[in-house]
Amino acid sequence: MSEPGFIHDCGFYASDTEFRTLLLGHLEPALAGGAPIILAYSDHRTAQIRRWLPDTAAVTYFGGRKLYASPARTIAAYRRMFTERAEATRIYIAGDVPHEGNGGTFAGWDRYEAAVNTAWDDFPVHGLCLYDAVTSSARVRDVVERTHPHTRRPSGARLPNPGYTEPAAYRALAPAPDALTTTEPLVTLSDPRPHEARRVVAALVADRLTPGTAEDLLIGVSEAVTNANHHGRLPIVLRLWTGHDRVLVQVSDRGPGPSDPLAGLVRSAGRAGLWLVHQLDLDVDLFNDQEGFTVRLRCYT
Amino acid sequence: MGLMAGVDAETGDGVTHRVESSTGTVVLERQDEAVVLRVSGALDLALAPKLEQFVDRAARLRPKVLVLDLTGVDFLASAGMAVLVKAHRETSVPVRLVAASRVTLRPLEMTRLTDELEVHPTLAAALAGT
Repeated sequence: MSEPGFIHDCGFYASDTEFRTLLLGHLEPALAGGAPIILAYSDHRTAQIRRWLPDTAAVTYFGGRKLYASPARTIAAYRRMFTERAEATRIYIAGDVPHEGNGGTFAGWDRYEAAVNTAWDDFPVHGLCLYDAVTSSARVRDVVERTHPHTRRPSGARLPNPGYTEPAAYRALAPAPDALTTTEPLVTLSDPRPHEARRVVAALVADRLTPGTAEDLLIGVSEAVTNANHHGRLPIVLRLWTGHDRVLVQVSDRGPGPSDPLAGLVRSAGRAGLWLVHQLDLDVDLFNDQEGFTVRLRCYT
Repeated sequence: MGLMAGVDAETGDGVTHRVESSTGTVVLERQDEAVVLRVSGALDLALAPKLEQFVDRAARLRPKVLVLDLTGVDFLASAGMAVLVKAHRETSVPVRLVAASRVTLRPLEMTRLTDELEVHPTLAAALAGT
């Protein structure tokens, strides 16, 4: 059998001691052989890990969880780092994926955990995603076990996850609806063309967003409308809401949405626009409901 | 959607060809041994296929270099970027871009196309290859 590309393990720890055991167990071959290591944790956790690892280890640290800006950008950022370490026979990574237990929102990151199984498979990478067993909800734990082929135990055992689901068959968690959608939108456009959508949205957000954020929102709106025109089913509806701290735009069509559950997360020729939207400085969510398929874009004032 | 009726006119330097969509235009100009495609307005799904046809047309003129001048572009969509990449990868002549504004550089950088495409700040720099 040929050497596998990306190896994706998860683990659950109930204490700092278990965290340390799991992490050091994962990194042991890298520390012994001098292989590159990439670690992305909170500042507090990063400081702790620095004390555990020898100064001589080839570690790249990302504190403050800043590597986890958005699922698509994180996938792309890791890919760049893997490319930069192309001479390594194996790269070891570990990080703290956002979920409700560590102050984040898991919906969206579940697609990330599924996507990386294929999105990184062209690199010789061994990843360990450690989740806090105390703060992770049952829902998070269930998803983690369905998106990682193996679980590493503090005992050192590495066991297959019977519920593991191939990325192409993974069904994403639905993101929580934004409360603004229970209110009347500031504007509703029916079957807009991309340039009309850009013009209307630009006028509405000009005094609410910084020029850079407004620009990203316009790119997002334009690509979402183009995507709906190209792949969706009429009618297309664009709605825009403004809250005291944010602007929300939803572009919906009556189609079933992309058949690929990882659409937008991974660069692909057919869905370049959706991928571009996911690279922007916006919160991007995709979901299906009784109305059809919706691209949700949010930015903060 | 076919090509809109272009306005072809003889100029002192050679032939100028022009095509437009509802939101943008492409103008083809010969400049010595180069061909320049000056794009303005929105380079989006409406204009992208027209630019693609002009790239083919420009390549058939066998210039030493093909410059895609995006100085006048005020919106660059993924459909437009796809044409830029295709021009770079599939055209037999060297392709150079002119892009200096945030509105064009931001999407190019975000998609890492600045790593792949040869981008110059001005038309003069692109023609000189510097």
